[in-house]
Amino acid sequence: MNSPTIRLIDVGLSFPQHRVGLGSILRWIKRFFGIDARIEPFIALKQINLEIKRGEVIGIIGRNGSGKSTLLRVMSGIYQPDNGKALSSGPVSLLSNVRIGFNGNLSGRENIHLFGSILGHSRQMMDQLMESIIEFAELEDFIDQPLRTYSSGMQARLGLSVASAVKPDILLIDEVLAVGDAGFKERSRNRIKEMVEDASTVVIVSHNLNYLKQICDRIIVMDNATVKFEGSCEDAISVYNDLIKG
Amino acid sequence: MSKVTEAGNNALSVVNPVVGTFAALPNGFRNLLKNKGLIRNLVSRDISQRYRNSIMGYFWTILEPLLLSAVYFFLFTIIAGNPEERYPLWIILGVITWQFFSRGLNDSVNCLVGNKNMIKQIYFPREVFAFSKVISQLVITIASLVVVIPFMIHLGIEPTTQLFLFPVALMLVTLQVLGVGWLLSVPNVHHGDIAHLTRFITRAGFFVSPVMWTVSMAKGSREEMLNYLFLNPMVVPLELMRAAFDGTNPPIPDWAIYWSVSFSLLSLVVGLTFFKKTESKVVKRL
Repeated sequence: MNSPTIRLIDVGLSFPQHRVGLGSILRWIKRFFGIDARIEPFIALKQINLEIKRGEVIGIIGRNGSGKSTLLRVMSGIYQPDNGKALSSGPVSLLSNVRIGFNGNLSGRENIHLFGSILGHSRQMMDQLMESIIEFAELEDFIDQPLRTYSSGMQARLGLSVASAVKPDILLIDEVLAVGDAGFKERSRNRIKEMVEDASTVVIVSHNLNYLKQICDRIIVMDNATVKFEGSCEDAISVYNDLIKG
Repeated sequence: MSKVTEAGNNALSVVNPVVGTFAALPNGFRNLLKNKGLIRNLVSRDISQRYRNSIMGYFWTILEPLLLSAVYFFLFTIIAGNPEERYPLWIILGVITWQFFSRGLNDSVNCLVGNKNMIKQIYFPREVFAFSKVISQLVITIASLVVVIPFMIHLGIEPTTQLFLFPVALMLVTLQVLGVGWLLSVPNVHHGDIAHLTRFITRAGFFVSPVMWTVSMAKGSREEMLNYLFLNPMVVPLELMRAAFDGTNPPIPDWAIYWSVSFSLLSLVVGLTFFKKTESKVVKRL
């Protein structure tokens, strides 16, 4: 049996709701006089238990606001869970917005270095990978131009190319596959497949059910901050379809 | 059941674990050290952003304090009459040092709010933001100190061994700005009022700190007021900067130096500890 790489134990997370501006002062006054002025927090994740093993590819589906992205953020350490524990066997990389930290005034090359260091890669490593990143993004002619001259598709290509250049052990993907033109989409799918085959653990949040069916071993259906279903792709998709129909 | 889980957990570790109060400080420093490359890239991004699209580019680092000083000099001459010969040097040092403090503090207080998108998309130690902002300002400050050289030549001031005071002074400012910046950046996420307050402090502080004037100029006034003045932790670094370049003894009592140094160190320790303890919760508010 393969060893687990990610394990969530009873993870719960809620977002406290706050009043803004004068409302917050009013709340202080109410609290001072002993009036209960609490606002119910928004529960984003409720008692999530999950185990993901090495070599597995897991898909997460669910309606908007069901907690998919929050779950990935807990796995990657962006949010600390309020209760329960999030464990992993090593560094976790989250691929969500592929344009993080990009700066329009820096050249493509400088942005590769910047984004690379945000992802935690050393300068030497980025220097080594530079040519392959540029090649994969197909931006040879533009790479020394400032990023603001790029089209949004080109920027996204560059971002995905950097983010996927280093094959991480544990990879979380949040809806980033839909960038670039048809040709680039095809190649980024292949690249993700490569990453998956390198025995890494992959968790993908997507609304593209067909794609998930192709690459996932298991699919998790999220609903109302909880795991509604966990199992084979076919079953999960039918559960999800039932959910949508209500 | 619990036994099985424990056994299975051996190879696993907690993602972004909660840090203890006393571990917070070493943990923060370790993270800064580990992210040297990232800090360097953020600093160079900040600096190139500042001078984008400008013809004179880097030259503005020098020109800006110079022009500001000229205005203050003009103002001062109108109000107070003939200033001393070295007054232009003092004022330019004051302006450069104060700009470092004021910009460094405002930037670092706003660093969490300003990097919201990055923080919500990827995990890395967030103390890096305020740190890189302050370092950017430090680099700009040191670069703009070049402007002092022609003044010294013109006034015939030879650099003395006292020049070693200027890194000390900049260090004091850096520590203060970092500490207070870390401390206030978290509540600033909850209440935007903090940013307004900081802006006010850096504006009003300009007048109650010896930027346009020096402590020796204030010596004639009421002594007991002067003691309160030294409670302002920026007075000592400002005066040390001047002493470093013109070779005179800084007109400050010993206790004021101890106070300024301990304020700087304390604010760093308290600021970073508070930041490390609260940042992971505050991310939910971004």
